[in-house]
Amino acid sequence: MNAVLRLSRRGLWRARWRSLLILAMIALPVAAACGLVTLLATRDIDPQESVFGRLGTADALIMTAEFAAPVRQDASGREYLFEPEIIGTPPSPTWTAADIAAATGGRAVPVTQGMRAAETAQGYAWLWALEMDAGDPLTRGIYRLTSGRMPRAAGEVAVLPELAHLAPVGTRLRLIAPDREMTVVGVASVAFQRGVPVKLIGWPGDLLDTAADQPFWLVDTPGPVDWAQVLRLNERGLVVSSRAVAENPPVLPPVYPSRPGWEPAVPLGLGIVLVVLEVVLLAGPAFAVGLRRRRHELALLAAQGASPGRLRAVLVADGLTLGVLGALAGVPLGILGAAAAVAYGTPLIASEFDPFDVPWWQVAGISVLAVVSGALAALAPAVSAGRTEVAAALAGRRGAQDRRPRRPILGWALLAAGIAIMAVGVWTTMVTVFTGGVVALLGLVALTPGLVTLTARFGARLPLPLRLAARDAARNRSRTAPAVAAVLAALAVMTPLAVLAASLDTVQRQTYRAAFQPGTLVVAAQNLTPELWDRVRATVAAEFPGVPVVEADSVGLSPGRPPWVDQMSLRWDCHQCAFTFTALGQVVSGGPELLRLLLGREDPAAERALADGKAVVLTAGAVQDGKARFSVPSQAPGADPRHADVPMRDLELPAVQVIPPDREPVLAVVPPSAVADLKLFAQPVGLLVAPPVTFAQKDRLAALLHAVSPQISVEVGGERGDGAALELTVIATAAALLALAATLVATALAAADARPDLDTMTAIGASPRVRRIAVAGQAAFVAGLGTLAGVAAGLIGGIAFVGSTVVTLNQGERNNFAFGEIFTVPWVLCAGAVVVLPLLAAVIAGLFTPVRTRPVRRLT
Amino acid sequence: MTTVSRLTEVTKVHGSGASAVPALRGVSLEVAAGELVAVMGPSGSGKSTLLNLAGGLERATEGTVEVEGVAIGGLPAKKLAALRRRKVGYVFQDLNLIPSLTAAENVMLPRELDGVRTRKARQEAERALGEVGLAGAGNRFPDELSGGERQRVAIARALTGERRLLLADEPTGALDTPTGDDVLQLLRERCDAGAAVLLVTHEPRYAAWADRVVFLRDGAIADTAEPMASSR
Repeated sequence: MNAVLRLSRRGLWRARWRSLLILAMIALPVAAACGLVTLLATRDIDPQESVFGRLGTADALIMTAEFAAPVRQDASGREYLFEPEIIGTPPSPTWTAADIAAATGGRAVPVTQGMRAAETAQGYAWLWALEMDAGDPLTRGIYRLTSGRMPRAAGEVAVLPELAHLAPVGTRLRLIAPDREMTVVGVASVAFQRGVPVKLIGWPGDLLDTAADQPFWLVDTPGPVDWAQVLRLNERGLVVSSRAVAENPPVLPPVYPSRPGWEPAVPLGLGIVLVVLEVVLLAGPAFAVGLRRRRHELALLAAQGASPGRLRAVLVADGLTLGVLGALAGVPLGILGAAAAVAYGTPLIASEFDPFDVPWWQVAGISVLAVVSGALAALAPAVSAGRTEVAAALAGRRGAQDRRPRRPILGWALLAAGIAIMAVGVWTTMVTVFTGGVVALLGLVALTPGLVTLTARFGARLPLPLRLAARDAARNRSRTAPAVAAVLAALAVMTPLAVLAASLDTVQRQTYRAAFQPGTLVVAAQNLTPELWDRVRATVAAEFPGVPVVEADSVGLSPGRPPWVDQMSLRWDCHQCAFTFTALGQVVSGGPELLRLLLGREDPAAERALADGKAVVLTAGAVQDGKARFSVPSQAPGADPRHADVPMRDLELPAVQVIPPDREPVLAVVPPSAVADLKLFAQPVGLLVAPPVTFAQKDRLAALLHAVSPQISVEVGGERGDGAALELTVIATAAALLALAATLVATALAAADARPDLDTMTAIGASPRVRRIAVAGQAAFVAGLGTLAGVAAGLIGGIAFVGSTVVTLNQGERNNFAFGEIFTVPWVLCAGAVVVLPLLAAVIAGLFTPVRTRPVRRLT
Repeated sequence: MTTVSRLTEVTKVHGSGASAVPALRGVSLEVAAGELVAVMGPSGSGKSTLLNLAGGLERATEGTVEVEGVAIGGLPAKKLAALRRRKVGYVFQDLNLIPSLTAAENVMLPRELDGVRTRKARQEAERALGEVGLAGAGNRFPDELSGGERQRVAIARALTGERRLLLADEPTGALDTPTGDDVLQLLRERCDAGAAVLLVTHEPRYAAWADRVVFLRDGAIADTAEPMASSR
């Protein structure tokens, strides 16, 4: 075995560029996979880790449960439930620091979390805020100060880095309802509660309504808080995250037992199969060429008495070595990449407070897959190595071509089985369809060598360079077939996805109902200050000079506050109906022009009603006896209008009902006169521009308005967003990259391999152009055959995917989709793949063909 | 003298049907221990095929081939490989050595393939290299050796372990005359030490070192002669 490993090692080193190529093909997917699992593991904080992140320097963190009832919790305190049931139990009493201190026998410091509205340069925002005394040693460790200082008194706030550009240190930040001016004194990040995007940190009791937001308590106890004490506190309705318990967690049954499920494992397993298959196929040609180069060496080995098994072992050892090296290179690369993403990426990827966590078992699994991929890629050449014709190889002859008639029974069997499974899957589950697809794909891969031979037969009538390419491809099936199969696999996976995306888009188009009338432009935002609205109005007017711009207003108690604080709404018993809010909200105030733009037509009766001070309700079931009920903010006598809790009351307004042709743009339009009568204020939530407005005009305006505030939505009626364009682009790009990589690698190897032939051609007078065309022809052959077969196979997969989707959709009650109406082939994409990819591959290959003839290198 | 290699009425046909080309026709030949037999003949006369058959690199279409009394015709590939490892050594005209292995590693290869421990195989290889006058060259790679030195390494490899049959196919073809003479002298020495050598050459000058010369023509033995001592 030593000799075999030594030979493999030295052979790989002698062909280092080819080895490096294979190495990269294994290492890159390994790096990607390792990076991904590391990021996921880092994001996924286990309960124990979470405790330390939240505790700061405290011994325990105590949370009051919602009800005054005993709880049962897990060791970390993240999950709990009430035991026994809580029906009829009163809400939890208000705990004070003294109460908590008495219950735990230590010192308690509150940390309160809640939401607060604020005004920023981009408009109003609804922010998560945290209140704590950052000067208390117990809170140390749950925040990290980036610049400035933490709040030391009321009226001061620290902001999170994401907010710092809108509210830099030293500026004022206006909080709304109740209104307060705060000074930003620092920028800090917090690790307090995952999933809660805290943006503000303030002084205790200064930001939040403590009556509504129950605090957490950081507790400093004389001794560790053990599990027995946790259980005692649970009896009183307190949930505890204790440092001592987290360090040495008791074994407990899960609080919320999860159902064991294997279903997610199936797509994961199939995904792994596909990735390994692609790696194997991409690396396969390189091994095949390596075998060609080493024929003589292997023959010498055989002459010295190496058995066929030993010859195979040399090649498999190559694969294993490269697999191990690929893992060794890919794993650190992936982990470093993940570390870099955590360090420099956005908080969306991972937070700096997440303990960096490498899931070693998964990484080990990926490494094993890398080694397996390497060995599998070397397998076919290894089998061929075992059949080396020693005498021929020693004499430098190429050896008889393997022309044994083959009956690829396995390939046909897998293909048939796969299609059958897919057919079953159409009526059962999508996962079954996927499984069948993968099985069928494996069958196709097994059939590829035969396909290569068959196709090359048609090459006899082609011009010389192309004929040479086809012949060469067929004569070197061991190198051509995996490359073709790699392209085929990429296209056969991407095509059904593209068909599915396009078909789902068709479903959406068929079921889409426009809220706004075609060509009507709607600029809407719920969060803009009056100053920002002035800029929006000016921008819109400048873009559409001379075109009337109609304003839609929200109705509230006072101006200068975000509409959602105290917005007027429709009281409406909605049975079996669905209303999706548009950006304008539920109820708007405006005149007949607004109503006309919303309805897309003139409705004299409704316009007259509006002019008469009646509300126009655009949905069924809300108007009874000529009246509709609304909920409006009511001002208590003498109350501060800027107070947070605005009481709401119901009232009835005279109303008429008009049902819009499509979806409701809003639920009701109330006349300005009614707003004035109710002593309420109207402030803008939208601007409407009459048709026709084009998508190009809309895109231009959207870009301009984005600079004013990213919170502004701009849409044109009749527009359905981007549809499946994004998905299709991603799918097409991924498929194209894989296909090009496979083709170019195979072509480069083929060109290097066929160099003696090309040199002979040049020697007898072929021009460099012929040489280029010959190499380009090789690329065109691989890419052309692969894409054509892949797209054809993929369309069959697409039929199954869409079939399964239609069956699933039709399980919904009122759905009755017909397959023929839904099934959509993205023909442009498919035709593009079949035509453009081979052409592109050919052009690239031809351009990079070295045309200089090199003298044959000899060892002596 | 014991017969090390025996070919009896051996016929080899390449290809089949209309494209069949006979390479050897009814050749019988014996090589005994301590005997150097030279095979001569024009191109295409079947010299190399004879050598390939004698070592089991190709299988005879008809007739029997024996190595140290074992008929190799019916042996499965694995056993045939084992036989080559233990009993048969090859020396070719060129590209004899595996470029990625050092001289010593090339020599120890058959022994390692046979499962001998690396350390022991290396010791044997160093000894064998010493016997062919290359002591100290064990760590050099083939492309760091001269043509003659490479052939010496090949000969050392051909005779490591218990191997007694040495099949040499134009071993001097790529060498200048004095180096070729050295190589032949070495082959003669190994032969005198007990090896059986079957040497294919087209140079009468080298055939003169042989105990017996076999002339092949169109795949059949045309003549057998004692070499002229004066040719040496």
